[in-house]
Amino acid sequence: MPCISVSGLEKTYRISLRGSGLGGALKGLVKREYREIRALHDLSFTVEAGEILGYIGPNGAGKSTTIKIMSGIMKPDAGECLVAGMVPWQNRIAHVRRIGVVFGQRTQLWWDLPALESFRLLQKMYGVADAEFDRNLDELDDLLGLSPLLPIPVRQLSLGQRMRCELAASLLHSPAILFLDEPTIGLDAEAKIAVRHFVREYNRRRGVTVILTTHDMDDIEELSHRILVLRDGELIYRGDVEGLRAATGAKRQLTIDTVGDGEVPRPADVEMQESGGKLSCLYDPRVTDINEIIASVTTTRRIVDLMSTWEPIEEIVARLYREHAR
Amino acid sequence: MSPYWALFRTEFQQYLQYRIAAVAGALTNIAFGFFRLFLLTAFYRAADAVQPMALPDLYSYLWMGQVLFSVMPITGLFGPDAEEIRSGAVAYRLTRPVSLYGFYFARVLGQKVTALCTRSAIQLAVIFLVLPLVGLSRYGMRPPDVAMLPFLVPSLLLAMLLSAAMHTFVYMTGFWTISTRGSTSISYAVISLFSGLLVPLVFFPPGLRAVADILPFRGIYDTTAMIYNGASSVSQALGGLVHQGAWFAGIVLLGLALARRGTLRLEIAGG
Repeated sequence: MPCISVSGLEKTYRISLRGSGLGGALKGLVKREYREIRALHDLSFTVEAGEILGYIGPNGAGKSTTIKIMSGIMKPDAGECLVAGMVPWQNRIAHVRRIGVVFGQRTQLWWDLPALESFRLLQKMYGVADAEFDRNLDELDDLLGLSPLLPIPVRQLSLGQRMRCELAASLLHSPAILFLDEPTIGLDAEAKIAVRHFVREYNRRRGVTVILTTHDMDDIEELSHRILVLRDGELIYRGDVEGLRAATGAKRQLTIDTVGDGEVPRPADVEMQESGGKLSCLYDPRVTDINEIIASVTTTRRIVDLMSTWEPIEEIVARLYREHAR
Repeated sequence: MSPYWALFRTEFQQYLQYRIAAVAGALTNIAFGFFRLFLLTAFYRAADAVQPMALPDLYSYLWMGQVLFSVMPITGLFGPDAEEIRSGAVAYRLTRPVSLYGFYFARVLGQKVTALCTRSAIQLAVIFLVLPLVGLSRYGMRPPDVAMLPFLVPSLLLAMLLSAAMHTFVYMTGFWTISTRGSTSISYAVISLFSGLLVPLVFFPPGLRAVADILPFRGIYDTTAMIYNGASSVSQALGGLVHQGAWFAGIVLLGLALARRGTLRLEIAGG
């Protein structure tokens, strides 16, 4: 049975418009104009228990809106949503006991107090028994290396340190579902890796269902079992990362180090760029055989080294966004 | 331990750290206290009419206002909590298994109790200990009327609760206006006038006085100050307590209704 099921979700925002300049401002005093922005349209999907779901889409696609609806903060205009058997907005308090939420752009910790004080407060808010709290904090400390951070006022933590505390704060009450809204935003490479490692390991140990929104494709590749791609409030892809490559005609990138300065004949359907003996070829493996490229290169050059990879997932996703642009 | 009690305690703990702010606030209140005191003294000297309040009582009344100032739903209204709806931070609050109104009320009350224990306590110490030392005891505060203590303590408590309820109510208006700056400015004006902070209510002309008596705002200051001075009869003091209690209940209910309807129409933008 799916852990989350969403069907036919609709949400429209009313945005107030203001003319520019003094004239527009004065007009706005008397008559307000509004425009309706459709954030979600007929959105349906399911999430299985224990799954890590990557939820991606360009800015303004409706990802955060969906998260806010599933976490019980906001009510949709229409549609159904069941999270672990409950309608989130109907009984918010009972619902939020079973979920953990991290909004990467905000903080849930008391700014001027040590993180441990916020943790204790959250323990009281969720009514977590002391024994369970200690056990959870121990485990989170083990995975996130929290001990040295706990006595420091939160305002004096670096963003990476704070994000480790934010993750811990969202899990102290052992939620069954974890919503991560851009948990790696603004983090350095090391902190990002720490967050990813933690999410993967915690999911493996506890079987927690994770819904992850992010713009970082490394997050998606390394964590998500399955992805949903949202554009203008509608799903444009659902499946795994491999499937995304197939669906979008993802290309492979072949990099060849060569010596010699003869002109290289370019095979049809291959994009080729050269800088200082290094050839960079982008090709669709279903159309072009790699041997064909290598053969044409060896007509004029000698190969020193070569490497072949998929093109970055960023490119694939950007292409997918462009194809579905309104 | 209830979540609201834990919130109250955490807020108390957090605000206890701001020691310099407490001292600075207390000294500001003292300075403005003298300013108001000399202003009204000058009025007394210039007028021939018999005043409804003797000068020493007036001074006590004024100082009570300065001491309670940090608790009134005026101080801290521009703080970070006030902007939580506008900034979207309210999103996190809604992911907690507690009532949104209860969350903010517990926090606001925690902040007010801290203010009473620090800023107001420093002021009282200055008024009762320092003023006599520097020969200014005639401008000080009279001791409370002992016979009225059984009314004074509950009245002070109710003044705190009523202040917290009004304060939380202003926050909840953010669900409609997004920013609470407008409601804050309006409440600042209304509260200064009708609580007795601007001019003691005994000086009000009868018509305006009748309005002030009905409105809730005297409950955060005037009622308590009059009991302190022993200027209220027992029945007036009792009536004052009932007035405070009834408005406290009423404003809490209004605030709860705002929070309930507000969360249903809430749209959290960005990020």
